[in-house]
Amino acid sequence: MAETTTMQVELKKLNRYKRLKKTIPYWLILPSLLFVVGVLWYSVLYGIGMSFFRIDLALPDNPFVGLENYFNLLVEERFIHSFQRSLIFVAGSVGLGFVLSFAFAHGLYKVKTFAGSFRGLALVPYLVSGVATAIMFRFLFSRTVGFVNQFLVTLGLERIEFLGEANWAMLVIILANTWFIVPFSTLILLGGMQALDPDLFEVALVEGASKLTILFRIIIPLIKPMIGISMIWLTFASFNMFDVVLPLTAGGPGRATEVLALYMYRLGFDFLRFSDGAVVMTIILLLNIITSVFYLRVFKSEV
Amino acid sequence: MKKLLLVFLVVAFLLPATLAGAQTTVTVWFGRQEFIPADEFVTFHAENPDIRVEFDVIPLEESHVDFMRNHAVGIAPDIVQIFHEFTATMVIRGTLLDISEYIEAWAEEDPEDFADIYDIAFTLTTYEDGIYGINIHSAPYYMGYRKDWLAEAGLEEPQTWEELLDACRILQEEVLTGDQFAYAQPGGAHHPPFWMTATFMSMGGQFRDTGTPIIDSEAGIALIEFYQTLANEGLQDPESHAWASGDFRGAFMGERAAFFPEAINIFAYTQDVLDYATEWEVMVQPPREGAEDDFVVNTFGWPYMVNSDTEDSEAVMKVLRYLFDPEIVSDVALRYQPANRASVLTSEAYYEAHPYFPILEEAHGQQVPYPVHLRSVERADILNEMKFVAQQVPAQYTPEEIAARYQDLLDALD
Repeated sequence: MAETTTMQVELKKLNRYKRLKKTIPYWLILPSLLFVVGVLWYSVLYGIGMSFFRIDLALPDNPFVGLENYFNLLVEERFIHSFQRSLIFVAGSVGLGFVLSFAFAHGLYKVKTFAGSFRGLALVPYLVSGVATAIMFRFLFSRTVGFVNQFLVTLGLERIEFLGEANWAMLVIILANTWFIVPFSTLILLGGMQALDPDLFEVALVEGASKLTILFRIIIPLIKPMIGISMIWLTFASFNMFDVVLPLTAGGPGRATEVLALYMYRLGFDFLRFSDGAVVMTIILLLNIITSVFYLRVFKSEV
Repeated sequence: MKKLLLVFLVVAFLLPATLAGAQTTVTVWFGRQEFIPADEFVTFHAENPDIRVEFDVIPLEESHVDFMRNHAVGIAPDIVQIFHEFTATMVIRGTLLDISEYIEAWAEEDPEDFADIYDIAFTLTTYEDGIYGINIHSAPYYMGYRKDWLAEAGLEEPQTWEELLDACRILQEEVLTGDQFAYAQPGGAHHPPFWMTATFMSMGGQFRDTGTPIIDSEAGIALIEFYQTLANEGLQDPESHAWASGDFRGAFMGERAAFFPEAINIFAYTQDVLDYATEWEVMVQPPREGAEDDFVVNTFGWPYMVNSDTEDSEAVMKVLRYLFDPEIVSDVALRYQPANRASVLTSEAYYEAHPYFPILEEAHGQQVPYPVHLRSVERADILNEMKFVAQQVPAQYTPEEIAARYQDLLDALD
C-alpha cells in the first residue's frame, strides 16, 4: 500500500515536471514578447488612438474627433493619389522582387562550391542602409553624371530623365526598393528549398520528370508556406518603405513617387498634423494585415 | 565602525548633490555642428563657474519637432536652434519664452555692444509682440555668376531679372555647350523653397499678415513666368525640377551653370573650387523691371529660441550673449554663416575670408525676413508644387492660371 502511495507521489512529481518542462519555451519567449508588446504594440496602439483626436501642432488643443480624421483624409485628393502610387510601387516591387528572389534562391540552392560565400554575398544589399541605397541609385540614374545615362550616351542613345520624369522615377524607386528587400526574401525561399528531401528529386528524375516539372510540381508546392512568408515580407516592406524613397526622389518629381509611407511622414513630421499621419499609419497597417491574411490563405501548405 | 561607514555613505551621496545644486545646467541644441563655438564653452565655463552648458546637435530640419515633443514631457533643452519660419507654431504651442525684458535690459546695460547688433537679430525672432530668441546668424540668398563667361559673351552684370534672363539666353546660345546651362536651382519635392521665395521677394513679392505669399499678383506672375522661361527655353538642366541643393551647387562648382542663387556659406566653398573675381563673381539678386521700389533683400535665419519652461532664464541669457560675443561669433562667421554684428562683418579678417562680402555688405544690413507662417511647411509644399507645374515642358497652363490655382490653395491654409 505504502509502495503504491510512493509511486503515485513520484508519478505526480514526474507529471508536474513534464508540465513545467512544457512551459519552459513560453518562459523563454516571454522577454521578447514583452519587448514586442511594450515597444511595438504600445506605439501602434498609441498611434491608432491618436488618429481619433485632432493633434495638429498649428492648433492649440487636441480634441477627440472620432472618425472625422478618417473621413477627411480618405476623400483628400492627395491621399488618393498617394494610395494609387503606393499600389503601383508595391505591385512592381513584389512582382519583380519575387521573381528575382526565387531565381536567386534557386541559384544559391544549386551552387555547391563556395556556397557559404555566395549566400553571404547575396545578403549584402540588405545590410546596406536604405539611405546609402538611395544615394547609390541617385548616382546611377542621374541625368548628367549617372552611370546608366553615360552608358546610353556611349551607345549613341539619348539621355533619359530617370529622376525627372514621373514614370521613370517610379521605375527607379521600384528597382532601388527591390534591390534592398530581395536578399531577405531570397533567404526565406532558400531556407524552404534546403529543407526539401533531395531523395524526392532523385526519384522524380528516375521517373523521368523534367526540370520544369520538378520545379512546378515538387519545389513550388512544397515550399508554398515559405513563398507566402516571402510575399508577406516583400509586401509589407514595400508598403512601409520610406528610407529609400525619401533621399532618392523625396516623392518627386512633383508627387509622382509620393507613396503612403512618405505621405505619412510628411503629414506627421513636416506638416505637424500628427493625427492625420496616424490615420495613414493605421491604413498602412490594415493593408499589411489584409495582404498577410490573403497570402497565408493562398499559400497554405497542402502537404 | 558602523557609524563611521554610515556617515561616509551619507556624505558620499549628499556631497555631489549639494555641489550639483550650486551649479545651473543650461542645455543647448545646435542645428548644425558648424554653429558650435570653437572653444566649446571652455571660456564660458571659466567665466561662469556656476553655469554648466551641455550641448548637442539636432539637425535644423527636425529640431523644432523634437523640441516640441520633448517640451510636452518636460525634457526639452533650454535653448534650441531652429529654422526661423517655425517660430509661429512654437509660440502658439506655448513652448517659447518671451525674452523681451532681457533684451531691453541688455540694451540699457551695454548700449555700445547693443548698437553693434543688426536689428534683424531681434526682428526675426519677434512674433506678435514678443521676442522669443536671438537671431545670431542669418543670411540672404544672393547670386553667384560666371564672370568669365559673361565677359566672353560681351555681357555686363545684369541689373534686373529681365536682363538676367536675356543674359541667360545669350550665354546658352553663344558660350555654353553640352551639359552646360545658364541657370541652376534646386527643385526637389521635399526641399524648402527658400531659393524661390528669395527670388519672389526680390521681385517685389508681398505677403499677407498671416505670412501667405500673394502669388496672384504682378510679382507672383513674374516669378512663374521666370520659371516657365527657364524650362521652356532650355536655360536650365531638364532634370533640375528633381534636383536637391547639392545638385545645383555641384552644377555651378562643376562649371555646368552660369548663374546660381546662393548664400555666403556656399560662396565660401565655391572660392575653393573656382577662382574668385576672375572666374566667378557675386551680386545681390536684382529687382524686377518697373518694381525697383518694391525690391527687398530677403533673409532666412537659424535663431536660438528659449524654452518657456527654462528654470534659470538669467543663465540662459548669459549663454546667448556668450554665443553672440564678437570673438565667439566671429569664428563661426569666418568659417560658416555670417553673424548679425557689424564689427564682425566689417573686420579685416572677415573681408579676407569672404572677399566678395564688400559687394554684399550694404544689402546685408537691409535684410527683411521671410515671413513666418503657422503652417510654414504646407506653405512650402504648395509653392514647390506650383514651381514644378510652372516648369513643365511644354507649358500646360498660363502663369495667371497657375497663380490663381495656387493662391487658392495657399489661402486655404489661413
